[in-house]
Amino acid sequence: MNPTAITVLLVSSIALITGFERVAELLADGGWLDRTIAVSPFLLAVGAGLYLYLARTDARDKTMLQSLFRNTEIQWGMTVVVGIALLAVFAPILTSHDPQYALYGRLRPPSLLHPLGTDTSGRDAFARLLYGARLSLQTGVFATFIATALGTTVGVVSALSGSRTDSMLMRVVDAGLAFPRVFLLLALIALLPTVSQGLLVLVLGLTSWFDIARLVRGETLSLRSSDYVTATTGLGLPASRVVGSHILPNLAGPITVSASLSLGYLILLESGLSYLGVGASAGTPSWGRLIQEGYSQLRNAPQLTLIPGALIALTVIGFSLLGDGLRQHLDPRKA
Amino acid sequence: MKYLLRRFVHGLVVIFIVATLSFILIHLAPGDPFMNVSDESGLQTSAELQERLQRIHGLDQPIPIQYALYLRNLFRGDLGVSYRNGSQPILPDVVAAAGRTLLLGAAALIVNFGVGLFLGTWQAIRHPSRADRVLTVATLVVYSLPVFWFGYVLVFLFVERLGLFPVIGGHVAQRLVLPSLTLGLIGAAATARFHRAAMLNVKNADYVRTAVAKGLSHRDVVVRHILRNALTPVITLLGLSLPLLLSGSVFVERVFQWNGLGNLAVNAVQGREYNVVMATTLIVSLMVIVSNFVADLLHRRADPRARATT
Repeated sequence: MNPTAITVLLVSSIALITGFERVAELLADGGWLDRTIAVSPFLLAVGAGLYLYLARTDARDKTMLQSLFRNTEIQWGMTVVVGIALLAVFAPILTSHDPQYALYGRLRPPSLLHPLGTDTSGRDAFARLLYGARLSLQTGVFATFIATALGTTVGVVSALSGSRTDSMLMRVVDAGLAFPRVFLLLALIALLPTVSQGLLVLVLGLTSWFDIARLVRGETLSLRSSDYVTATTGLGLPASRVVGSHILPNLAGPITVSASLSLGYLILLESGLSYLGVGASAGTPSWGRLIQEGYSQLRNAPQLTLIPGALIALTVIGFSLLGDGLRQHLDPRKA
Repeated sequence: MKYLLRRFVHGLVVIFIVATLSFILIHLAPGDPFMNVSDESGLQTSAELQERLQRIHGLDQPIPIQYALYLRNLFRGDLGVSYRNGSQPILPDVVAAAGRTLLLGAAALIVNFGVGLFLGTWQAIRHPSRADRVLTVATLVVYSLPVFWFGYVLVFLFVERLGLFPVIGGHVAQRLVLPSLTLGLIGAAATARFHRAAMLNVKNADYVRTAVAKGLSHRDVVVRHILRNALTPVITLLGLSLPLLLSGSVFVERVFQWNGLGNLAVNAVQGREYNVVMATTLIVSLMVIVSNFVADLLHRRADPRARATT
């Protein structure tokens, strides 16, 4: 029972449940990219669940889990993240309005029928907010999966390969970190004929792995020089075995922390791109698009701009707290 | 001196790589930039007009020749011409936008490091205390806010509710206040967290204990021993914060209609003006390289250990 598996299970279930209809839709008529992205959280959830089942709880695990939840930051982070996820999952129960139905009359003030009023096109703002949560969470989760997988691979390869490959890969990472990411994203998006959600996830993931790669490389280097890894090499274990059963499991902690932090950041980034009007162009709006649609009415209907932004902030804070708490939990010296 | 030269050559190589990459990307871009251009009479482009435009812009030449021309023009400071907008050269627009972004960035940087260093130092001095804990959470919260949303919150409070600033117009200094506060305060939260950690790190060092033991006043210990040593990593942070600042300014420029590089790039993306997008990319990388260089020099000046290596 370890925190990484719990986090993976939690996050992939969020992605899966919030995106259930979308997943079905994408499997039916999406391209290969959309299909791969649609299935990945399912596989991850099954994997993490299986792992947790095989490594069944005993008394020691129970105390570990208790100490995990004794951390105040983890408590708050967990509460916020689960709360937002519940909003997204139960959107159809929490509101009876269709987020795209546009015939309620424009800019109605908040009332019992429309808790946040209606937007500039006469759609129910509360429904759009709830369904928007689904899209924002999914995009963040999928992009983080891609970034984490890529960053881990590059980091491990870089640390274990010769100095030439290592220094070349690290140059790429340095460049990626030094270059302002939003400009990089703008340059890439400019080249795409149309921006679908799947493509946006891919672009976000492909431009966000640099810091994870650097972190993983550093950790791998320090693990490699540790006595127990030297011992496994001395025992004559093949490299794949050394990496698979001795290095990767010990990387899981720092990777989880870093993934939790970048999840928040990627949600922020996606909402920013949608706000600029260069995000995914079709389909359900994400929170960033709601702000873009609402800000011209900042004076008359401030709730259209301020509430979606507050939810973005809350989600990011939740994941930041979770990441910070996990870091403290895994490394009590740094608390 | 030898070091300086090597850094300079290194910078040139990076610029060359970025330029080549952006050339390749422009040519990978789907579609023809003139596909949807209309002529003076407002009609869609005919095949004939498209051909003429391609000839004018040199797009009918073989790729290697186009590449050579591109590099030569770049060397002369010619970033090409806009495909729309009557074939005006891009350079003046990009330079003017870069100037406005730098102005905004400089103002934000002052807010960022002024507030951030003050908060970080203050927190570290009061370290095990309630105030420190509250501020640690507060900085985490501010750091997590979406920049553009924070901008609208400030507009809502100071413009719509309190009426402290004019909605549109006003003097440059007046228009600069809210954007630089938006960008600067969010950066300040990150700086405060970073600086607090650096201060706490130094606080436990042996030489600080020695300074306390030999009877220096609290103030002297903090200012001369802790703060001075904790400021070295801040110089590194200064170099690292430019990419973040530039990224953030894309959103802030949108919120406040500040026509800098960010707005230029976003409009170019929406208008499919690859030339302009790549020109801004080039300028941005130039800015990052120069700022890293400056941060490096400052670091070597402040920390004798950095001078010793290479």
